[in-house]
Amino acid sequence: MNDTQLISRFKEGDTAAFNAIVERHKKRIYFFALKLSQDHQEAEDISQETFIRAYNKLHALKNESCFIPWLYKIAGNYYRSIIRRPKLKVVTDIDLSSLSVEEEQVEEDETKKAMKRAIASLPKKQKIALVLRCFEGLSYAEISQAMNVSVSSAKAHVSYARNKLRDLVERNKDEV
Amino acid sequence: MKCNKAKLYMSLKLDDALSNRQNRLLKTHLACCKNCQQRWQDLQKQESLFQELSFADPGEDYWDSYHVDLASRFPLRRYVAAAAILFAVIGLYFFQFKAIDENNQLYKLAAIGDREAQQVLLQREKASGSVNKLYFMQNNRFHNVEKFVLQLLAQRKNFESFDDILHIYTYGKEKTLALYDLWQMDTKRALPFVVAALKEDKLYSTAISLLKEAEQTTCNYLCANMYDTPLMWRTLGDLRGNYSLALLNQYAQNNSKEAVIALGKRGSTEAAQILFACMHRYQLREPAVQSLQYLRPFSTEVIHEKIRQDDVVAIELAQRIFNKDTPEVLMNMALHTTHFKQVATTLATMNDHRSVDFFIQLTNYKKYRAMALSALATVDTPRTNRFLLKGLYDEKLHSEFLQALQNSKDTRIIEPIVRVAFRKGLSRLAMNVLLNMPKKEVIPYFIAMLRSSRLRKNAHLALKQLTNEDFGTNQYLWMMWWRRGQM
Repeated sequence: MNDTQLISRFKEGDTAAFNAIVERHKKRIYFFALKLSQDHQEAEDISQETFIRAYNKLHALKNESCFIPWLYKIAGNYYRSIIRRPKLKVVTDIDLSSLSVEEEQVEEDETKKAMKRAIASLPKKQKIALVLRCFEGLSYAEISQAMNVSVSSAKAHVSYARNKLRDLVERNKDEV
Repeated sequence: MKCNKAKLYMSLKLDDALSNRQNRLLKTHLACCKNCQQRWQDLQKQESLFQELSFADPGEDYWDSYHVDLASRFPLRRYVAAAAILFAVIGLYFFQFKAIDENNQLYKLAAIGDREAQQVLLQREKASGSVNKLYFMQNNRFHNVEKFVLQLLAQRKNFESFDDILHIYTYGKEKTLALYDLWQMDTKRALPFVVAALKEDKLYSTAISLLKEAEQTTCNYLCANMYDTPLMWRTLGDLRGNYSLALLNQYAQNNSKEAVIALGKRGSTEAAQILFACMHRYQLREPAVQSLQYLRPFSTEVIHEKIRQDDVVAIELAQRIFNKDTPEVLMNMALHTTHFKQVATTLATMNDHRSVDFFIQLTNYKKYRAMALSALATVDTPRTNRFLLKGLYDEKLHSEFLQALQNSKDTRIIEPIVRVAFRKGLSRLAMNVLLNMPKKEVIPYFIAMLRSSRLRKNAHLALKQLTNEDFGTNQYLWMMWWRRGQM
């Protein structure tokens, strides 16, 4: 059963159809959020909030063929809203999550680490556009739907992001 | 091509989204720009690096518990979590969204008064530890629950029962929402409840806004079931549609004062026109004036129109209902009307500086002079008084001014009248004006007039009338008497 059929069933009152939707797209949205936030907790928060919002608003979705860009749109919007808020850091004796991240980072080579850092420092809109295009493989038309911008703006965002990323990596190399 | 444009084209080339022409342009630019050449190489490397970047998968355990975590984040996550524990204990493996449905059902039952459902929810509340939010502990009030149920109803998810909402409306606190839902669900069935809600001040505005959607049905229902009650008139007044207006017009034609009062709430020119027509019926006149006063500015528009049509009722009504434009409308009409007296009287009551100027100008025309002067005599402004005093000294116009000042009590006019009297003689008109004045002010002047042979006779008569004494035409005796009285 494809997404369109599942959505139709959900709209008819079959809430179990939403389970199938979550099952199908949970990893896609989680990793999208992870690439944006580069933090497991935040990615989890974004992906789950995305599905909650989707559950509440799905009945209003008119063009069911645009479901995936629509899901990305929810995730992107939520990501943009949470990073505006000041982060509350809970100080514990041992921060296990940060330790595990560092373990992973050791395994990665310097170039990749620099690249991840550079992606993290991109402006929000550019970051979302870049991740949608280069990692999630969305077309520019889909990106424009997901970001609620025109196709030419989507192209511009991706272009700015790629070029800025290149400049950031270059600058990082120089500093090293 | 500039480098900035080349940057965009490079990005598009990576996506194979360049046209042939754009490709050629980019190639040409790259051939001559070293920086862009370097950038293009870096971008290509960067693109391949994207594919190599890895992001840690949180593991199968995480994905297995993803649904439960997700369910706990829904707005009712506390209950879902509590239910999840419950289901886990009894060995139900697939909880997921069914738990939410289960909870919804419980809430629905609890909200419509099912004791068992309330008990289950109460136990869950206790189990979840949020004792301070026990909805059912306090006098069995379901405020939060009913709000929740109504929200679901609004979303048209699971509940479609009219009776359920009616129960909430009757016993719950979220009456406004419930009333709205009743109406949306079945307008015909909801009508009696919405009409009954008109009796409650808190629900009145909601009920009226709903009833406006079915104005004709509402009017028919009110006339059939609540005829001639204050609620019927109030509602007909507030409905503001054409059907209720026609109905009120019909009742007003049958001399209903209540209909006339209700028309005062309509806020439309049509209502003002109906009310103006009611002015011609004696028994409706007073309520119609009151309603027209409520209906400003619509009523002033109608009155102005009628004044232009030389309607005497409108001219008289303008004394009580007018705005800043009314004096001008009346003045424009003044020279064409067959009711100049009424226009002048109305203008005089308005005490407007424009009408004073207008009357003063009108005194230049013999035809209108008398009327204009009598109108001016009723307007007590410094400018009017100055004008009138000046006119009294004018021997040609003296008698016309006196005529206008017949009922004046302003003592300042005594002196000019007496001065002219010494020159022209004391006319009957002047004597009448002086006799209207306070005795104390006017008696010394009459005693002075005894000196003049032309005025003596009339002065003597006036003194006799004013004092009930008679010392003949002897000025000395009158003076002695006056001084004695003064001492």
